[in-house]
Amino acid sequence: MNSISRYEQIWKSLQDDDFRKQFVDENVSVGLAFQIRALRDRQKLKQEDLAKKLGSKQSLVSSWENPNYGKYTLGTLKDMAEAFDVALLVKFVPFSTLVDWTVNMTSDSQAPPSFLEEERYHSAVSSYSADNNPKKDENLNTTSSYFKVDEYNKPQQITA
Amino acid sequence: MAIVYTFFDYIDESGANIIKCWLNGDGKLAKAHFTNLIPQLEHSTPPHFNDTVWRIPHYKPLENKKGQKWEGFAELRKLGKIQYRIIIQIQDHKVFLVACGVHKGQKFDIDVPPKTARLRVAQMIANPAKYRREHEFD
Repeated sequence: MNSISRYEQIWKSLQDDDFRKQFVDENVSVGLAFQIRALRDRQKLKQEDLAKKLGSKQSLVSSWENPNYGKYTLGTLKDMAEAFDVALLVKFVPFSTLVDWTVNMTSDSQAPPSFLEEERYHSAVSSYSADNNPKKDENLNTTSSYFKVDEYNKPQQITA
Repeated sequence: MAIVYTFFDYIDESGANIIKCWLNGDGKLAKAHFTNLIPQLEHSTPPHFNDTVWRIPHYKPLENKKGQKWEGFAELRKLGKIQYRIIIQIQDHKVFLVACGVHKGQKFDIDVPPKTARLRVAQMIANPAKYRREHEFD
């Protein structure tokens, strides 16, 4: 274990102006490349399959999965989000948020579930809840359950 | 999911982290790349699986070339006009970072020969308290 946390180490590196600029750039390039690959694996799609969905070429999908590529357009990303049936979040954030995401990365955060997967999960839990606790479920003020979809992880069931 | 791989830097006799020194020196332009790449690989499936992210172009097993026996080693890479590489060896779920190199044009300079790289791996295994430290990102 390091004497100072990984968060603190990266934060220290960010004091350098050049590193800070490159860190944002590489986070997009490396992060997107791995996410596209992970999403494709999760949905059991070959590069050819994804290319077909997007009306593109397999060689371009291969480039998108290359961490050295980094030439994505917003239009391409929106099309990919539609093809994978996942949401796309593009926003400016403080560096602390970016470091936090880097430090707390998980496999699940790399390949989020599609809307259909979330919907199935939601239905299954709702059904289980209704079957096992019908009276309580009628009283939504005290025992209702709902889903919180956190930004980068699977849906989590929260019991209020 | 927990971390699958742990990355360790080589610490030399003087206590210096040679990977960290390189990333803050000759490899400075690649530091941000490896800062983002390593956490991705930490959570990935093992090399040689079908659905692995340990693959070309950012990862490549080394071959024996010009009498240099690099078999068993691999490199993490940042591509570009100048290519930056960290030489690694993977054992079980440990990734030993033992050397660094720059590839410019036809010339590939790794800072140590394979024999030294092997010695470093052996030292990191035999005496972890002295010769290795979990990868440092600063």
